[in-house]
Amino acid sequence: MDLEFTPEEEAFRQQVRTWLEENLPKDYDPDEYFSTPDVDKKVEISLAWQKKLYDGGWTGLNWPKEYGGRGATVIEQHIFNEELGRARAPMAAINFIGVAMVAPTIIHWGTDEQKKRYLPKILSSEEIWCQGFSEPGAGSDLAALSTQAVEDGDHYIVNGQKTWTSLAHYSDLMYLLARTNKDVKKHKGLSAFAVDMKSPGITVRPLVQLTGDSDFNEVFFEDVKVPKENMLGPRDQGWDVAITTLMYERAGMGAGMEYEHALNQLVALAEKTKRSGVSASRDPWVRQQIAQFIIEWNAVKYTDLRALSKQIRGEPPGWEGSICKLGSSYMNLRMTAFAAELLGPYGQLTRDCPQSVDQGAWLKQVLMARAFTIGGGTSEIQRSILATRALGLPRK
Amino acid sequence: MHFDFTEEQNLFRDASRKFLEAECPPTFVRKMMDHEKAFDPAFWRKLAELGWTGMLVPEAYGGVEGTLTDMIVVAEEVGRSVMPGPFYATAVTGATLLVLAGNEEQKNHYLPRVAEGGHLLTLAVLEEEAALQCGLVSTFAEGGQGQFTVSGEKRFVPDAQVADTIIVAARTSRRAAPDRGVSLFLLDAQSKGLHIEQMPSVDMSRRICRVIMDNVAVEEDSLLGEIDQAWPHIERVMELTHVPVCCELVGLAEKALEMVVDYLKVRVQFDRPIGVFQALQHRCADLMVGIELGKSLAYYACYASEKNLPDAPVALAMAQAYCSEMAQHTMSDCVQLFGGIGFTWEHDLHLYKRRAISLALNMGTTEEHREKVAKAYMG
Repeated sequence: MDLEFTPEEEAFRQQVRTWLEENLPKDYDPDEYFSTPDVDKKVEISLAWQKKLYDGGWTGLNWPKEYGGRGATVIEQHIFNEELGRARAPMAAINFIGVAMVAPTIIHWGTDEQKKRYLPKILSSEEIWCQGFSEPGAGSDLAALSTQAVEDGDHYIVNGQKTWTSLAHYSDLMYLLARTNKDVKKHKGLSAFAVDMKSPGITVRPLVQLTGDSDFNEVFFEDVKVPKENMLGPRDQGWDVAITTLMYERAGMGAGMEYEHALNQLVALAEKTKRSGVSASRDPWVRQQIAQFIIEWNAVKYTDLRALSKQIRGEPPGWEGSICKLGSSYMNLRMTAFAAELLGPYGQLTRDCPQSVDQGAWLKQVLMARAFTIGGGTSEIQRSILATRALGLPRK
Repeated sequence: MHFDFTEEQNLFRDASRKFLEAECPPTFVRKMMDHEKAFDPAFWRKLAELGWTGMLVPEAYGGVEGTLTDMIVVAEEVGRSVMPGPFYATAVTGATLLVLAGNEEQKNHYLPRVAEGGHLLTLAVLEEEAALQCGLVSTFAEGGQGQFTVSGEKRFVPDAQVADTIIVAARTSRRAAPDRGVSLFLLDAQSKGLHIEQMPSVDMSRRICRVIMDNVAVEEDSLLGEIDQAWPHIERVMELTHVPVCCELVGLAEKALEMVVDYLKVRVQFDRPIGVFQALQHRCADLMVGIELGKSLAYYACYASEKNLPDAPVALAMAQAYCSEMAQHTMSDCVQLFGGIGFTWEHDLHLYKRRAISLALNMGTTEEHREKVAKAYMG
């Protein structure tokens, strides 16, 4: 076991850190950025930041050089992500689907023309992608989706509805999964497409979330023409294409540095919250609770490091992604609820109330916490994956 | 960056597992449970031949000079097979204390014997108020004319019933700083005035004892380390012992879950193997999550402790708190998942449950481990 980085890797970290110090906008306020309900503004900041990263040569760090990346090592990518998290830089979310999911899928499955057409503009954030997988009738059972793509000359005609489509209202392209064959088993009749969001027949309708914010949408398709050359991967093999993508999604989630920041905030909150004139951070029960969250978070972080070690050796991703997601989302759920309890009646105040603590950030996190046990594969789906694939329990 | 075992350590793990599967099946564990002293000299000789008893003993004293990481590889396997006997007491706690605090003469006398399996050790620290605190040591060693006289009662002493030498923590100064004033003595278990009594307890394959000392005379050369200065050694050696204990808890839990999963695949009710039911599947998945998270904390604690990093004590406290609760919870759920058969004496599951309870409780309370973490982060 050796958790040290080489001098070269430490030098790379220093290089990233220095670049971030010099390039993060001087007026950037991470607390505001992470808690603002103003999605337009958040997207604007995120896009500007993505362009800056691109100009600095930091996007697609681990992409092969031939596609405009730097061919960075797994460790360098890890260090880079860690430093972004430490600096609380604007999130890559706006371009996450393009950079972290669509691009690897296109590199794996795409034609040379598709690589040339799409990859450079993903790198530069000139084109933002959304993901058209989930439907009202196909959530955890994704393969049951019913949006249809019917061949018609040199096009496919798409009809149907997608939902929970994050950032569709800011996207230029959709990575769409649609049914191209109804006569075979449900996993065998799907195909993947790149769809221009400006195509006639597409309607985007924002959905307001439980938090009151609006990050995702319903997308309706009415006789939308998609050129045949936009198909990603072979016809009717869309399920395999999607699995590639979801593996990258799982690898990209897991240990988010924002949890660590939230834990530090919780310690600070306990410090400044007074109970009978004494700081709540002196209360043994409060200390036990917070220690437990810190322990669970560290367990996730070290598990992520074990996964990284596997990745460095070139081994396929194991079950660590599901384990980290279950562990961190469950911790976050209890941690945010505990913070609200610490705040007492103040825990219910929104950022618009002048008397709110930490600009109402805890209330927002309490409301957001369930997003992480549902999005990216529900906790129940993760458990089923572990039970059947990792432990080998029978499906039927 | 390599947060994993080496190829060599993985081969060592395979070999250790094969050895224990052959030599330490549940039938052997049960034999030891019924044995008067839970000890089989022939089995111990085999451990010595494998180099396990001398794993942490330097080569210069006839040992293997392995690392703590090598030790946790063994510890996980020890857990998987509920290996009985005074392994930690002798090969980890006892041997490490001698390496840390012993003079040349003491090391030359004891360590080669420990390594070759001919000498058993244990450390006696806890007393009536059973917590690992310097101030709670009231056993007293009265000094004078090249000799000490030790009196007091120790409790929860692991495997003292078979020990040849009991290393006793005794107060030698009444007016010392809070973490000073305690010294260590190498006491022959046959000493006049020394009486050993087993404390019947949950894990019958590893025993704990009371050691009662009534004016036991001990020569000055049996003092281990400097007078009054033993406490930091005791803390360090308990840290080095508790790292493998956390890994043993992981090994116990992992094996128990494997047993359950195997059972759910073959147990048929409602015309199908009950492993198809999600109520049971998800419970197993949650146990797997706990085991893997605990493993990560235990491995990091090992790494930090081996390198003597500043965060080693906190890393260990995290592993102790998490692995203790995880193992209790895993055992409890495994009994439930087995159903009626899991609640019988005949089924081997209770061997695992018993070991897990005992290991966790011997390490202290999860409350104190968590408070250690809180102190590091919140002051």
